[in-house]
Amino acid sequence: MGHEPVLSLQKVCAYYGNLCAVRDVSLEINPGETVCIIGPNGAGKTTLLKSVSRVIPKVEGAIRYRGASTAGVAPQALVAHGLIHVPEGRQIFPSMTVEENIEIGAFAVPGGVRKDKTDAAMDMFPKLRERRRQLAGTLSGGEQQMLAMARALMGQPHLLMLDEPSMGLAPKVVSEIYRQVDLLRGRGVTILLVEQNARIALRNSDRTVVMASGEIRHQGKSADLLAGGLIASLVFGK
Amino acid sequence: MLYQIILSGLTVGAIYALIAIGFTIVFSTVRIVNFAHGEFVMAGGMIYAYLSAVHGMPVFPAVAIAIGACVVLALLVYELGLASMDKDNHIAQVMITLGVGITLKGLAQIFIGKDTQFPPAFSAGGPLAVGGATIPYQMLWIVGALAVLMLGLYMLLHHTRVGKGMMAVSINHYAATLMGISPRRSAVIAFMLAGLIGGAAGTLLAPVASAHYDNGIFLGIKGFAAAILGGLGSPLGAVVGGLILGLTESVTAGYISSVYKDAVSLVLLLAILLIRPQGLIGKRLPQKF
Ligand SMILES: Nc1ncnc2c1ncn2[C@@H]1O[C@H](COP(=O)(O)OP(=O)(O)OP(=O)(O)O)[C@@H](O)[C@H]1O
Ligand SMILES: [Mg+2]
Repeated sequence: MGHEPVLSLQKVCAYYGNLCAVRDVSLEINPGETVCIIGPNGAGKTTLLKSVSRVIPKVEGAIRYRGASTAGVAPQALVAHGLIHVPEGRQIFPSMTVEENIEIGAFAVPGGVRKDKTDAAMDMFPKLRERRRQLAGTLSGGEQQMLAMARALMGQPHLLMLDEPSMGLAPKVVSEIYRQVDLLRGRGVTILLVEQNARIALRNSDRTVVMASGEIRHQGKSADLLAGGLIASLVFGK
Repeated sequence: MLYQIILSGLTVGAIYALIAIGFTIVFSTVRIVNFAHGEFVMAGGMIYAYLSAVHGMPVFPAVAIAIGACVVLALLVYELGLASMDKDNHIAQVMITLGVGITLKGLAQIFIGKDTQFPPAFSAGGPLAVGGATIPYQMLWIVGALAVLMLGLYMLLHHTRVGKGMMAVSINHYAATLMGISPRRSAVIAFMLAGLIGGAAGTLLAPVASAHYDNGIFLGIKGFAAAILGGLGSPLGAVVGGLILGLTESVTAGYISSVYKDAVSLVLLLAILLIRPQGLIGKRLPQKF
């Protein structure tokens, strides 16, 4: 493992037609680091993750993943190299069973689905094991988020991007999810997290980036920001 | 009489079902209604007729080449016409598939001819007599082909990596992409399957109902109606829809008059769509990207 960043963005802009949703974002994430992006609705957080996974067409600037430029690279190739994106709103496959959802997470992994990996994914969230034969669309919101994470882990992430994993969930479920995020951090997985809940974000990351209107407004060590109480003023208005 | 009506209804229905499967696979994977699909069926029958009449080719090589040609044709239609197209521009996609359909029809007319042809049935020999009904061997081929192709499709979709990827794409295109599945590859396979099954339907049908360059639109409409009846997006729905449509037509033609068979099936289609807009077997449409 070298010292080069897992992900580096230089002056990245992303557009939907003529609308510029991300403007001049430069950011580096080092191996094993957890970086969290926070910011209000419409700040461009999701768009930034989509730019990194190359699922939106109009992205400018340089994005390097594990040292190589991702310009013109298909999203499938990035997934196969461990860049795994858990999208906003879970996006599980509702008409497949829980087990099938988990297995499809290993689609891009050479060697395919391995029993020990499925077991490990279900060990993280025992609720999923109980419901393995159930259609994923019938799971509760919290269970769906767990499924989305379990499915992502099947892809053997090197860089895991989580888009608002706490969205719409009860505090108890949120802490269950973040307990697993903690375990992953302990295992050295590099994580790029998007959160709207600033408190959760600061407590669960090494560094925090504040975005608004498509731009980075502020960044710093999460611990410092937590102590300084800077966030509230930045995110929720002057 | 009743037996005969039911038997021919099932046979025609099996053909409709085969055509409907092509609409359904392409629609669920690529979100395109391929209006050129009926021309694949026409091409299957025409190429088979051409090879056996003009070149005197034996049945099975001729059928295999005809089906293979339809697979290639479908692949080309996707790669050259649709692949690089904005996937949200539905009007343009409709125009392209319509244009491709008209082109294919024209090519068949120019290169194969305007005559109505009846290529040989797949196996020689007179019809079987069962009870009061007679069953031509070709009928067995048609129903057998439907069973075999459905089984193959089921195995592909549920038990292979490629098939599971296609299912994922059809349920949620965006999430599938994030799993490392290529929607484009799924689309290619969907079109090739549509070409294969549609081409097969064309070769199966031609010995009993003729091959003619102008048949494509008619066959496409029947197959599309069957697909909608069963629920666009569901292969099983395509089969159920096809069989019901075939039976309705043959019962109407047998007991009322063949003049009314299209009207009656249309009324049936509308009635079912009023009660179940998602079709008989169809689920609600998978969420859009
Ligand atoms: N598919 C799209 N087409 C056009 N505009 C879009 C699209 N997706 C997002 N946008 C716009 O881009 C901007 C950034 O959206 P984005 O989803 O990245 O924000 P976000 O920070 O993730 O917000 P939230 O916290 O609500 O998830 C918004 O103004 C949004 O309206
Ligand atoms: Mg978002």
